[in-house]
Amino acid sequence: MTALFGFVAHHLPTANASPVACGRRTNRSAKTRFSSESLAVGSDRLNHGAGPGRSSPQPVRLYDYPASGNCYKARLLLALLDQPYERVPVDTFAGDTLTTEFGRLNPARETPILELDGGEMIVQSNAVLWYLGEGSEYLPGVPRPGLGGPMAALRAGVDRPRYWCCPILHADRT
Amino acid sequence: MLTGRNPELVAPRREHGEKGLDLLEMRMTGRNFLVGDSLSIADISLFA
Repeated sequence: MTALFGFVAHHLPTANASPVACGRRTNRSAKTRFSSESLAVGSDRLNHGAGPGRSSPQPVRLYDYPASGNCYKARLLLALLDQPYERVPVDTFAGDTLTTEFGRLNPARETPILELDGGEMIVQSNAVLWYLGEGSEYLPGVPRPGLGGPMAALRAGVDRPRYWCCPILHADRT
Repeated sequence: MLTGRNPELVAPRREHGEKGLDLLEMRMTGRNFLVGDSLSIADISLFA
């Protein structure tokens, strides 16, 4: 365990990484309520650059509550993948998730939410991890025909219920 | 639980969580990563 946490600590993503130009920007959903910033953690690429073994990455937007461990997981993988993204800060305890606007993004009113370029919303942190990890070294053995493809988003949505409970909650059943 | 509105839930949830952590501890004995020999989303998913 110690080695794992040492490895991850070395790759810690922060919410204050240098913003970079993010290429095509979209004007959808919660833009009126939430301000956003473009991040490329560990990268100064101007495009939505591909990570190792990836093709045609599409812009993504992360609705992110910085203090959330679940949001941290998404930020960590985005950083490890060197995947630029647009970060939309959400303050759960200030009531941001209680707005009608946020409810349209995720009726469960939870973060993180990964919004894809086509407007699909991937919720549940482990579904986000699976979606982002497909085709990368962090999800070995799972090929990805095209990053951000509609099928990947669909799979992440279909898989969502199985991520509602984390492995620790299932621990006594394994 | 975070708001303190359901204090009766704390003890059983803690016990449940500790069982899971015990299992993880057993699984991780002699290993650096949960699955395989390198970091994967399995490890990342355990952060929360």
